Amino acid sequence: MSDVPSFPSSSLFSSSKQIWESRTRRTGRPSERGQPCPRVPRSGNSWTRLCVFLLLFRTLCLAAADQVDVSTLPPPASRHVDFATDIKPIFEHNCIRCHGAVRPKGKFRIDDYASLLKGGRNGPAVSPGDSTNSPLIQMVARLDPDSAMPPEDKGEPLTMEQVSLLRAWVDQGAWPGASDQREGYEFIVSPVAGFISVRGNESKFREHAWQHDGWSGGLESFSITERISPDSKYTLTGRALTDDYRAGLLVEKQDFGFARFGFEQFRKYDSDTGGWYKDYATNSFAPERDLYLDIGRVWMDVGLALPDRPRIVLGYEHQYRTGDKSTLQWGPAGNTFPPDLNPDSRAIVPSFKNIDERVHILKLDFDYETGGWRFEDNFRGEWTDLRTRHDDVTSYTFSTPSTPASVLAYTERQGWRSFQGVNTFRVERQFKDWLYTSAGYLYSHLTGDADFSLNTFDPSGVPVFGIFEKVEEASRRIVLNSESHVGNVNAMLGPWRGLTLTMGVQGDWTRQDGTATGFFTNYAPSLPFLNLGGDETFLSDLDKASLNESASLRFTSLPFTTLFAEANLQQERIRQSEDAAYEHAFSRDTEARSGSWDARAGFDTSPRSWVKLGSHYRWRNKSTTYDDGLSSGDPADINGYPTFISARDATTHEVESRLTLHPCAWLKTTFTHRLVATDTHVETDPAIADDNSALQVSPGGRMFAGNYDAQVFSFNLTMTPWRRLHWFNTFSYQDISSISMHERSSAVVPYCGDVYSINTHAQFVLTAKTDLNAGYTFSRADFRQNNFTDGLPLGIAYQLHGVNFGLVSRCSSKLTASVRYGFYSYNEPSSGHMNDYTAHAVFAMLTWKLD
Amino acid sequence: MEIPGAAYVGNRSCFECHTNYVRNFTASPHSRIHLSEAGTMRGQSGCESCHGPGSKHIQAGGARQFIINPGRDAAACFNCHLSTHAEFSLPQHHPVMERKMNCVQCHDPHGADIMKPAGGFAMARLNQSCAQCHRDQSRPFVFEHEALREGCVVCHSPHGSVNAKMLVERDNNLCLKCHAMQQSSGVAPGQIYIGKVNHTANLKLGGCWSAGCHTAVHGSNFNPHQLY
Repeated sequence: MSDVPSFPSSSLFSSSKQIWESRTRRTGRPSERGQPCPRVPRSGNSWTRLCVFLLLFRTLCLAAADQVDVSTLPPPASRHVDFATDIKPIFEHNCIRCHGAVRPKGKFRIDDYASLLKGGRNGPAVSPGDSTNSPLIQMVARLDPDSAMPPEDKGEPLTMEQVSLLRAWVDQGAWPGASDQREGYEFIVSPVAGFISVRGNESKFREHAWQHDGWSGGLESFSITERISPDSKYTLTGRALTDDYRAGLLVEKQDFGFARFGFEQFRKYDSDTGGWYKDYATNSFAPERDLYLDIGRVWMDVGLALPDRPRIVLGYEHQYRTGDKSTLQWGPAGNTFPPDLNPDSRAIVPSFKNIDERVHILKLDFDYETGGWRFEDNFRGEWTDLRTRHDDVTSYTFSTPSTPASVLAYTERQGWRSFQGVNTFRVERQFKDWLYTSAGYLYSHLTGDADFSLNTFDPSGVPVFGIFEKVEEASRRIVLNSESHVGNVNAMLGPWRGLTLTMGVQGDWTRQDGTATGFFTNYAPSLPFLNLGGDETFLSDLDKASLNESASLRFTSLPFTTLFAEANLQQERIRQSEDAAYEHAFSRDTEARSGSWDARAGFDTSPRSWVKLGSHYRWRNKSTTYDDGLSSGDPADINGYPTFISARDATTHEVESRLTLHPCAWLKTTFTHRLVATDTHVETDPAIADDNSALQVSPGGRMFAGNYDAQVFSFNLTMTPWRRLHWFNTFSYQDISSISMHERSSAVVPYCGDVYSINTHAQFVLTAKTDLNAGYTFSRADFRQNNFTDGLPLGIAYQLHGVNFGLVSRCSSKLTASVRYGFYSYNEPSSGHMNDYTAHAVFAMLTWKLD
Repeated sequence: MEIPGAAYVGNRSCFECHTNYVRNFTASPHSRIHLSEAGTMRGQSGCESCHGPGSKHIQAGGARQFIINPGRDAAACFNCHLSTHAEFSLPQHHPVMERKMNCVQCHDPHGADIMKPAGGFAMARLNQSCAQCHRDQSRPFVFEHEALREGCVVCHSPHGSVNAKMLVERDNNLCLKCHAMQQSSGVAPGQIYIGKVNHTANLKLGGCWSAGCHTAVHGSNFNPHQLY
């Protein structure tokens, strides 16, 4: 029922109450019981089409007539009427779709008793004890065609019997009935307890499952919702498990505002086996550090949501990441130092980094819609404080295999403190039915400072000459600034004869500069003759300007078919200069210009209700040229990467197809296929060896650098072969090949392999109160490489199986109990089975509901 | 996707309340699928292909228990994105299956650019989704690694991967696609120069970043060669 009492022009001359009172005095004939209330032709949308004069004239005429034929109202039912059993079903079936809790038409809610009595935008709709003069009764009885409810296009008219019941309910006092007293209250809690037993590499299990082994438990979920007044309620939801928490509280008052508070944290586990490969070292080395990173946030938002006023939200959020994570900076396992002179050395020893990141975010959002315009502004102020510490070993020896000893170690500490302010303003407008536009502007400013230190020690902790040819290197003055301006304009035109065109342009300008000053020293007590060192200064400037254009076409006039074509273009210019004054001078002054294309065209069709087919082709290309202002053309003058790369381009072809068959209600199946092929080419200047000026190591020129080819086949089968069984299955196969121009080198062999994945889940309704669940997940990959002699085989091969069974018993309407068992097996031959594990998991859970 | 007792009603009904989403949905990549027509496959297009049949949701005045919210459960997305579902089942993945993350934290399903984390009718900025959480990697550096200009996904497979840190590849093939160079005839067979430096022994040691050399792959404040 839209716009309960909705007479915008009449309100110019009289209050809504007066209008309703005037209508109750009209006359007419009663309808028969059990028949729909007669439809009366509406003047309909003529209100909006007439000029002001006609509106005024018509309103005056209505006022003059001043009559509503209440005699057409059916008589009230003669029995006692109960709200819950007689009235509420009428509202739910006929009214609540428009007058529910979310965006109720005419601000009139009928989904709870208090809101019903309160009425809508134009006042109360029910006068307890007086059904004849209750606007609600007159509207559902369709006394006035302009205010008849439900409107003709929204539902069937109420029957005379239903109107009689409503009249009787109002005449009897419009009481809510006992059953409605606790409406809006709901409490659900699901306590859970379980145990996971792992045999093998426990840290690898934790990394894969995002879950700790051993005992765990808590609340899988909880939810409390309660209406604290007719137009306000609170909702508390969340979970509280051993290492996974979330709690969110929402307090909202309709047409006024809301407050949100929340906290969440989960733990990311990392395994600690690095790149261990059994053929290079004994398997007996297993640090088994329990590496994990706690990732969480706390937030608080307060918002104003007054009707026809700007929506304003002020919020604060604290994000954090604290703990340890594994790194891919592994240490070499070899017999002598330095490892790069020892052909047996391979970097496989695990390492980790300690992280303490804390971010405070202040946010202010503004959103206002008026006169067909929509304005939105979002501000974010972020204060970041990040500290990292990375301890690594530069080599291990294995004179005694079971007790490896580190030769040297280094510690790297970094700090980063910054403030970034970002403001985004956006305006949208639907000018015509066929023209929708938007424009936006973003400004961002970042200012930050950092510090850095690197120290090398021998196993006894004495500073020594280290892997980076320094004993110590440090800076406590690193300053970075960045500023960005982004603007965009977008438009959507159509549809016109099935054709819709969307266009957009976005410009992005960023300027960034950084300076770092510090020192290095090569002095070490053990090497007194090397008392060397000096100051260092680093400078960098970056000026980036880019322009993006996008356009897309949709054509839908062909029967059952959509054709589409899209293109995104980008032109970018980056001016970059770097200057390093230290032991190895480095400088560059490069202008990079790039242009990229991303175009796609395809179709989607469903010629029959049981078949759907779609396919598209995508072409991407990005070409960049680098002009180094410091290059004299002499190969000996060129500093090296990246200044002597003169051009680079990457081209990708992609074809994706999808076929969905739904031959009968209980069976649906989907096939997809995706083919991706990317070729990369690089052009360089000639180069002379760093340590031998007589040796030209590259003649320069354009060459094929590498390619990436992949085919992905996926298949889904969803079945409900009979009502008790629902079965969902997805299978996927990927065939991947990645090679570089050095594919014939034994140190860099191609990275090729395949991946199989299966996800299947079945639910079987055993009895009216019991369900059985079963699932199986499987993935297998084989990227093994055969470069043991001259390289490190980094290709992975594994098999992962996961099986689970569950039983759910609905003990009563309030209580559900479930038990679940899972078995997991991981087998990784490529690591010499260092990462293998098997795991058993048992969980029991209760779900208790109170409302 | 099923909601017991509910039937498909079409996009037009959704428009009445969810105007902001439906109004510019035609600009979304998700509108590549055809719009609802009589005779076509039901529930495979428009709003209800992701949110499930909407009749009960509408009848109950927008009650949330009668509509599917893919922002809370990615199962709705996996009905179409089959290979993405498979990627999230690989050993290294973002915790979407574990319900610690969801698809809409990184993607805007209704807007013009699917790679944008929040709503709107504009294009995403480079690496915008990833930078929300991975500040350490996406922040400015005195010496940036230009690979980040190509986007994080050049090196990482964000849904899931068989490789640690969700890398596209685990070895030096990843780096050599950009850092390639024609070798002169004067260079001994089997040797590989990258830039002006002989990297043959280093490549044998392991990956460019994992062998302890170019460890600052996202950028460095103190070393132009991204050694640390």
